Amino acid sequence: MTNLRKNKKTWIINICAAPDSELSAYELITAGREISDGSNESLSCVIIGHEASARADYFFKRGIKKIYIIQGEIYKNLIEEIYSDSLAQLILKEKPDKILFSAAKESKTIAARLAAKLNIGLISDAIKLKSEASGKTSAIKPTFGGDLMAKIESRSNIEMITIRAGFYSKAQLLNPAKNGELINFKPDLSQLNAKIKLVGLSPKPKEDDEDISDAEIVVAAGRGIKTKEEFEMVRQFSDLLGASLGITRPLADLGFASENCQIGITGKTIKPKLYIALGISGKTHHTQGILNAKTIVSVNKDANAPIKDISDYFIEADIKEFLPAMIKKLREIKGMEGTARKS
Amino acid sequence: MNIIVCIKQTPLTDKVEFDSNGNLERDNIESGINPFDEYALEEALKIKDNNPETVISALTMGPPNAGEILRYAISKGCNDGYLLSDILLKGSDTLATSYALAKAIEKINSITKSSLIICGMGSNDSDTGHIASQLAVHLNFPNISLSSKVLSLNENSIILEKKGGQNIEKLEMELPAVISFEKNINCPRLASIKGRLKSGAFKPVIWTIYDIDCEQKKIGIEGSPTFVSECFSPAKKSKTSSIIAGANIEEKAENTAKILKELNFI
Repeated sequence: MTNLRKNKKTWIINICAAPDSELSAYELITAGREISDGSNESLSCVIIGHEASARADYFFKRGIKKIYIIQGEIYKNLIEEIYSDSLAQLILKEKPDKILFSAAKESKTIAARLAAKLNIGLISDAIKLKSEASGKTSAIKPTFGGDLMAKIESRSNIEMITIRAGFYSKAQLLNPAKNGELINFKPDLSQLNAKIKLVGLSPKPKEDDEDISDAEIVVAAGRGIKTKEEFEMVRQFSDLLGASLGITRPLADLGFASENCQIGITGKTIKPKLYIALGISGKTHHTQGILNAKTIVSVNKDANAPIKDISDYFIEADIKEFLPAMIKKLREIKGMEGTARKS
Repeated sequence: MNIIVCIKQTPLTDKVEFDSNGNLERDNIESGINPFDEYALEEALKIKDNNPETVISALTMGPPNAGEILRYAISKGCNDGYLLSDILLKGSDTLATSYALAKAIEKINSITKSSLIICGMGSNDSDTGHIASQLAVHLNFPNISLSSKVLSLNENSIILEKKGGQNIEKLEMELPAVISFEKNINCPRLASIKGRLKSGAFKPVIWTIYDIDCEQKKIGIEGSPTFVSECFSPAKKSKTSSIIAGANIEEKAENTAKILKELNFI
């Protein structure tokens, strides 16, 4: 197997303008190492963006030896065509064997366009990669919202795979930091028939809810929470514990909190020290996102809810009654009896 | 203006089965329109609200019974529906599917030119989100993915809002073009009584691969560079949980607090 893996060129693509692209790239480094032969030459990084070279150091410091830079004003906004045409030219010139992208939706649409342009296969949303005896890489991908896992392979000479965030650890900083080779690539975009132009730009309103990917304590609400008032109690409980707030997909769809705090196979994968599940039944697509939580405490009025089977502690109770009692208890402990909600 | 909305029939239940080749057995599952397509369909219908002369065609690729989601689209206000259905399309991945859909769109366009091809952000079953971008390549149309709003539209161009990385972008795109819309951007309407009545008599235009002038080597299993080699249920971690009990809710809360304290979380 090692021989077949030798001399295969694996690339990770970092799209600067995509949200969370820096952190996801560190996970791609780990995934890329796993499928490449471990030699310094086999794993390279492509950074594409307005000021892409500013990021090169982050990758050198994490052991990448060769970085391709595609940069310029034109990449300031995520116009798929410009990104995919630029990447296609570099790929056709250098002919990598395997290309990894983040599965963030902004990266995925660029990868999809690129794959169609190059007429090659694209495997999406892998959570685990495996090197096959043939030298090919197979990918495990959740389907049907996580109820079923599919192993997918590509027959194309260039294998392209997008990888979901949260399933690989982030590549660590090397000490001492190393340097590497920086290659600037200038794609020829003169043929590009620019049919899309930016006519306005306004800053994105800041999301109210924090990113919970690295939270130590997470209090999460599921379908057992029916009203905004009940959800407000969840927030109070979460605040009293100093926890971050999470929700399941049905609650995200109802707009109770932003998608930023949605946990599960279609949301975030988290690994908190404590996870408290309130009114969450425990469907596979949700529990796949908390497999690595250290301690799970769940509260559900159904004593047979599947969440019980993955919980360390289970409380059979109606959320509507449990939360007020719990909030009162926590306030007593914190000496906040009678005080209003913590600000 | 003519608009084509691409929709997909997807399973409604959690119980899914695959055949020995790893292809989805779509025959015995309860199915409906992919929920993400509802938002795309609604955006097309909103354009028709403002320009009543707009003609919306719904297009789907799937098994013969996928005609039902076209009927649903008609009940909401689409004008006609096209079903691309052929056993040779089975096993198509996103590259092959987008190619076949592009060929069907070209066929529709050979009769009346469409200015907009509208898709949802992805599907709830395979969940790739590739189709809109790949359709655009096959059709050689510009495309904007994951738009959240139509700001203005005329015969030659459309201005869309898109939530980019740090900013909200307003992008102007020449027509014809492909757009995919985000989820949760509108409240999809219910079908009117008139719409329901109309859909009762509806019969979709059904095409096989021989109707769309496609290269057979680019569709189905042969035309799909990616394939499912195995399917399995996700690993489940099983624990024996300790029950935190109590005679009443106050006691349960008190005992829960005790445990959280023991674990050093309070």
